Amino acid sequence: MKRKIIVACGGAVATSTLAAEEIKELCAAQNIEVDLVQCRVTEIETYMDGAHLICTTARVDRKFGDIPLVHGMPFISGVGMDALREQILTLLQE
Amino acid sequence: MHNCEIFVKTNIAFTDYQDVLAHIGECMVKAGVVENTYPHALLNREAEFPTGIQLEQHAVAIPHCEASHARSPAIYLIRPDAPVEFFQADDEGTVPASLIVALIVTHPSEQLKLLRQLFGQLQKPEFLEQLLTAPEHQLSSIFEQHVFSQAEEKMSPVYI
Repeated sequence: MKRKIIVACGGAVATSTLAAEEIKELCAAQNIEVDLVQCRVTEIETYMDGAHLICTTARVDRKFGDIPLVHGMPFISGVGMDALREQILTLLQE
Repeated sequence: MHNCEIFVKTNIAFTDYQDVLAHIGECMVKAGVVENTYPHALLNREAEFPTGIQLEQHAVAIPHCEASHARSPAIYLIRPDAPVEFFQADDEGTVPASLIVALIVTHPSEQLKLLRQLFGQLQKPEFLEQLLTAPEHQLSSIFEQHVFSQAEEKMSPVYI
């Protein structure tokens, strides 16, 4: 089943694009079909309908219903990247 | 990131991160790479979306703001005398940034290749170690080697 993933950043320097590329690669390797939406964190609500996962590279203090939220900063810093990949796969396969 | 200028600064002390941002704003306006609206925008952006990042062994901060405040692409690399506490990008609390990499970006999509290269290289402890220990006059060439050569972009070092 196709998974809708929202990848969001603060909006100035496109860190969400870097995270989105990592997620695309990760899902392709696991044969998970994805529908990736990239936006600013301020726009997440606009796209959250039907989403299975939200990944942000900027901090957000609000909730998005039942949609799980993960922090994509490990894709930028390299610290904790493997754990994040595992977490994303687990969430997408549930 | 064509004609991306690199500015470097060492031997400088700051009272806090806002002091760092004020310094960056002032220098970049003086250098002519940003609009007069940049210093204010930089402060606002950091307040809303902080940029402190804990890497494997050290922390860095990558202050930046919307591209509309930039005139031409530049990177301002600052190595303060003592680490400066920046709020973390993805978590509560602060990290002691021993290197500050201000990004002046005019076209995020065009400059993505450079940013990808930069973030990739910052993940390498040996690259960061070099930036933290090398004398100031070598910083831009170290940066060029690691970040620009692979990104196939032109750069010109500037000292201020």
